[in-house]
Amino acid sequence: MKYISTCLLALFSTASMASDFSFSGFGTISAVKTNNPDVEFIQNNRLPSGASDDWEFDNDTVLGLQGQYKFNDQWSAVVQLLSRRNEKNNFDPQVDWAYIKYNPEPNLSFRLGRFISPVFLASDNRNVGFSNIWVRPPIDIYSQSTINNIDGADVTYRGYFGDFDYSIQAYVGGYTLDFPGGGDIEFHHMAGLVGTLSYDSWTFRLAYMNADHSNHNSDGVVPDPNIFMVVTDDGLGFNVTPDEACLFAENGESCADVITNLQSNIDYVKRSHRPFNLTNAAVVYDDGEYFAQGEFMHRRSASALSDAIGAYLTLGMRIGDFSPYVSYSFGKTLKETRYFELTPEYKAAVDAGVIAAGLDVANDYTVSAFNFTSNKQNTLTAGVRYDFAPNMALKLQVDKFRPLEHDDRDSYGNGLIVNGPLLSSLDRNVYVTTVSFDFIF
Amino acid sequence: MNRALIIIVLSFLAIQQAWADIVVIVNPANQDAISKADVRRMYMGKTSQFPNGIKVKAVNYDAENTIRHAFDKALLKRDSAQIQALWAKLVFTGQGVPPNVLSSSQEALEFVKANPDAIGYVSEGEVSADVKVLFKL
Repeated sequence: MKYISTCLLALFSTASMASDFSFSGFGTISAVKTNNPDVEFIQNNRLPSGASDDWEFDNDTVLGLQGQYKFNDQWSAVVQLLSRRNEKNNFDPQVDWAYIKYNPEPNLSFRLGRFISPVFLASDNRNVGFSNIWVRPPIDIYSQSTINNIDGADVTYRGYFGDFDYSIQAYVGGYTLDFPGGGDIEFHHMAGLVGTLSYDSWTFRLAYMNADHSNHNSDGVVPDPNIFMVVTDDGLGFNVTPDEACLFAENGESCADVITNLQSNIDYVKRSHRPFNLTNAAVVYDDGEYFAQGEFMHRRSASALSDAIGAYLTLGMRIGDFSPYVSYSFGKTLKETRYFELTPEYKAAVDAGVIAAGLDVANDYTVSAFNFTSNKQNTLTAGVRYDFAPNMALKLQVDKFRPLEHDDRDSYGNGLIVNGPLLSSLDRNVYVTTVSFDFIF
Repeated sequence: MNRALIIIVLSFLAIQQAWADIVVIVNPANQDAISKADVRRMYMGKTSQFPNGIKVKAVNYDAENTIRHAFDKALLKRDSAQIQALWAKLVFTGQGVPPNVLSSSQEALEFVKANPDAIGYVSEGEVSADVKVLFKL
């Protein structure tokens, strides 16, 4: 990273003398608070701490600086430095975008370097508050899947037929995303396709990303999960570890000897080279006066990180310089069910043992639901954007978060750090109020 | 009608005039067939070329300029603030380079006159013979 920064500085200093250098930037200053001293709101899941019932200024606050140099009509380079609170709890600038762009013709471009994986409609401009109606993209979707950079290459083609405009973007690359406490998620490969079609006031967008990921702990390894096998109707069972003597087996036989698919279940749950496939569909209507925008997303992560879905719909209008809007969103994990296969003798023996203990045998022995993440929540949002100057906007937004019980389990909700009791069990809403000032230059 | 009222009415008409009569201009050498939809695409970042494939050098005015407001409203059907937000998205995600911002109609005329691949707009009253009028808004 240091090396890149040095190169960029060198590029800036030589480039700024030329007329084909342009410099621009954006920023947001926001104040956020919740209505609950035990609940901290975080606008993305890499923040180590959030805003509680006192106003905090370090949630959405961001400054971005972009330098662009045009070598000629075909070749250009862009570097964007971004300063926002990160997983280390500081504002050290990061290189968020850095690429060389080649335009063999005006509507066809290739990029090589670092950019943002455009998995959702507002992924790549989520930091540019001025370009969005809300203070931040809806958490129920945008926190279900950590949106991140990609080091790689992409190609974009834009065109039109009749009154339809379209663009197609394909990208490949990889990235490692650090989290508070020293762990990371490594995306071994990411490959995606984005198609956009617009007609009159309508825009339709479909995006798919195929990726696989590993979730390393602070020692840089993916630990073997502790797998729990449920054998009774009411969820009782055994911890099963491949190499160790199985509690219910004789002669110190290991669980791997007794459970024929134990390793494949462990490989499934363990977040090592597991999928991270995102499917996204978005529709936007904007006639200048009224606007509506909706997105749906599905995450296929098939591991301890359960599959998930999320969606939102935002409706708004423009009255002079004011744009009031309302939004509803939800996100939830999808239940994973994995079965264990025992050798016939041991299946019979365990069944008999359960019955002997006066309990009901489960129809199938399953991997405990607690080996998979579970959450569910919805959010109701109301806000107003005020364009008080050509390059500046003020926003006020109130979100009502509602973490819900899901598959008989309590959940905390995305975007919230909870230091008290489980929110879903309290049957209460969390209100988050945000005031933000966005600008570009 | 008294004199003051006539002056008020006339000045109102003059304002209407300034808002209504914007002409989109290109270099006289540009023989391409360019529609309003094409120009809308150029100013909303959906294309950066003329229909014939030549790269566009579009010029614009800053978002406080009244002719810019009128152009955005008449052709793009948006407030200038919305166009600013749209370009913020395009610029900071590397999807486009906004039109060059010039400070006066005079500069726009000079630029379009000097560049065969340029496009711009001015009030109809300001147009000179050195540029070609595509259409009136």
